[in-house]
Amino acid sequence: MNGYQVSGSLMKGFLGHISYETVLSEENEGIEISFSFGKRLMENVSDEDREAASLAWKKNYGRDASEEEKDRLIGMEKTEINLSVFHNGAYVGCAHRDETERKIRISPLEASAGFTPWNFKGGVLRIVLHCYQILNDDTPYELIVSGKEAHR
Amino acid sequence: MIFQRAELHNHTTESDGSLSVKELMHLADEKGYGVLALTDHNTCSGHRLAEQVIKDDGLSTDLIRGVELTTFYGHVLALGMNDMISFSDLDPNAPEGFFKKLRANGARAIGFAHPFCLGRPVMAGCRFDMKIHDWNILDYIEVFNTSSGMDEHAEKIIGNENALRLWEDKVLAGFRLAAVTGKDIHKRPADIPCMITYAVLQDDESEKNRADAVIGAILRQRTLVTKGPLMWAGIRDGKLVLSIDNSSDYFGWNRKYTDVSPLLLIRDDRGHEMSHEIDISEKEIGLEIPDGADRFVLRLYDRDTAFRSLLCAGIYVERERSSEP
Repeated sequence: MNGYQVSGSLMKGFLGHISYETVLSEENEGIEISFSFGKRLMENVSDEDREAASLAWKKNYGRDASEEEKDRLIGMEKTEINLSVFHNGAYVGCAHRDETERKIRISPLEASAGFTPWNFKGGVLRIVLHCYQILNDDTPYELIVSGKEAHR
Repeated sequence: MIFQRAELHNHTTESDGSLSVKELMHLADEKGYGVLALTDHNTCSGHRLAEQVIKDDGLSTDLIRGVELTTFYGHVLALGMNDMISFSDLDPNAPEGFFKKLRANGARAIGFAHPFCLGRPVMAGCRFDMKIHDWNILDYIEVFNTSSGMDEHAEKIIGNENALRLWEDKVLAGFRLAAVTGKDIHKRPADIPCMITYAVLQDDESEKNRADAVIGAILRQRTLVTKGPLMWAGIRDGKLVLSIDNSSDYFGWNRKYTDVSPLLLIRDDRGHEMSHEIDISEKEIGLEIPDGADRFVLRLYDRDTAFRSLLCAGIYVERERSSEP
């Protein structure tokens, strides 16, 4: 595997999983993944955003949020995208952290936090981006994947 | 009867916690958790390391392998999971198939975490937002999540009062659900007297692996949540018989229990609510219960029935279970 780089742009309100799959060579054994996204916090707060936050609040507090409370709620909101890795259908692990940049290395002997050591010899690699919440239009993301062949 | 403490919801640096697996396991040992479930978000990567730490460092904690399936529509705790599975195919309007898939992949006990937490868009995915058609697909509800503390604001954010009420409503309707707590550890927890979980084990279960015994207790609805008093109840000769153990030193309960004014609230499946002022220093108390009612849930308060005054809850009794205590 020579590696690939993909990037994209997500719309505000997108909720879903984005899956990338590729075939690994028989000489491959490890992978490196770099993932990043931007616009973590809400940039343009509309009246609808403030009302949506207030509605969530009301379910627990039983009353409307004050304007000050709405400000605080908006400040708690975040764009959240996490990433899982599969090999031939097996779940190898997940990078589930409140970070906009992740660097992941997985080999047969060691792995970054959240992943188990794994031999990626041949087969199908699947990387899934879990988009829990996107707060802004044109939210950019980039995924870079490269394979590591076994030393001979 | 043995009361076994268990902490069933915990994270490490394998997901978004700040404690390493080794630090969490040592914390559990230092604090005497007894049984600890490692439930990182969407990964089982810490399990082997946790078991290695227990073995290498001679810790007395028993590990439950677990995972918190952090979906778009709520957080699902699965105890006994050895391998994580994909959750991309979860349909929130028909989630039962997903729960069956969890069981097929090793989950022995499945529960909802913080079901009434503040939801989207403030805390995306944290509130339980699935349509459950068959509550028998589940085994427990986290009725107290104490990750934010126990003050009034934290309670509103996390919604524990509604979670406890949901559990009571469901078990009184006949569903077999246990009630548990979760510290939801992401960093070293504050030393505050919050609700914790005990599993109620039979005497002959003391020699078993305590992790297995705790999962068994969850499956048999033999758990309670408490700030100190250890209680269990059964039906004997038509009376509800309450067994009380004040030996716990959790925040000095074994010294201060004589200072409280215990008020026991019993709710049944016929809609009755009965309150009794009880002498908590008694080891066993018999109480009259209405004819016709078969299922009961118990809450113990101090002085009044404000939610903050709750001392113990999550105890379920049904008339058919006449052998305990």
